[in-house]
Amino acid sequence: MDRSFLSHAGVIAASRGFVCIRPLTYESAAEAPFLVNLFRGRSGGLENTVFALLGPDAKTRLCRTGRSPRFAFASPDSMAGAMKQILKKYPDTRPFDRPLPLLPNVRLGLNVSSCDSTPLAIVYSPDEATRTRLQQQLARLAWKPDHVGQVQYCVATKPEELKPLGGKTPRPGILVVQPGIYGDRGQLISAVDLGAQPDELANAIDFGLLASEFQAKSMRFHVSRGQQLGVNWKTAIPVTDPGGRRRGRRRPGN
Amino acid sequence: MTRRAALVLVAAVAAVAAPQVDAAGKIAWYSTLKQGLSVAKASGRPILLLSAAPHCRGISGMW
Repeated sequence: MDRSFLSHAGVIAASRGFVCIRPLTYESAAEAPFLVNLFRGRSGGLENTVFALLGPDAKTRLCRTGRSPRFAFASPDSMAGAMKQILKKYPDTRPFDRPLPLLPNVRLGLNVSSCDSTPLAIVYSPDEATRTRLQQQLARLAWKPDHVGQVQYCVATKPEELKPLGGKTPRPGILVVQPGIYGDRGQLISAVDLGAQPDELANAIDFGLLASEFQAKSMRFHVSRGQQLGVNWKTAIPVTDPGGRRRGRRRPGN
Repeated sequence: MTRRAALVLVAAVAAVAAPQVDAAGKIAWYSTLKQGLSVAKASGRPILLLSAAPHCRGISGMW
């Protein structure tokens, strides 16, 4: 991802008026056609990243689409300026409660939270009504200015989904987890049970934010060490980015 | 002015001069098209979309 654009203060500030969507490339066969339709690389297939600014109908293109914001904007400043102009055309007039942004499952939740260096909050309950209630409670917290973008969220319904956490299966509730360096496992750092009051829930999330620790990752070291350790992420659909495939072929045993 | 006082002053000026962003300083992403597109439709807000693969050369934990 192009962090120079996405970590720019003006872009982040403007993003609060957008609905920001980061589909996980190669992790959903259902989503791939939508992404390829937005941007098809020279190979003709889906590339690792796809960038677009779209209208609320998801059809109207508001800038040139491409592999990254660099395809459309000369600099992060120009991207932020364009986003501000777009927001003037879409005034924030409809009252709307944003739902909790959910990752598809615990496996992807751990991986993405590791990529983003954030804790992961898992809504764990076999009962759908309970999960819905807890998600609504968490959503009120997740969009507060001091929490927005700081925590990843996902849902678990069965104990098997929590195997990456190791140890005894936790009781149902909200589980705040520190992801491992490779996002293939996690460590429980705080939890509240199903009957938690909103302030108890907020305390558990805040504690998770304070207690979680992340080291800066160097791509070269992370990849070489991961290969030594036998880390091998399996995507849901084949990787079609030519760069990714070339690199994949060079890797012994892959 | 001592060196320490100068450093404090520089930090204070930098803090005031920095563009204002809420404390989080990160973009909050929906991770699925289903959820994100339904929010966009319901709210009437435009979409910032950037897909990404959560692995680097098959090694998870890094975009």
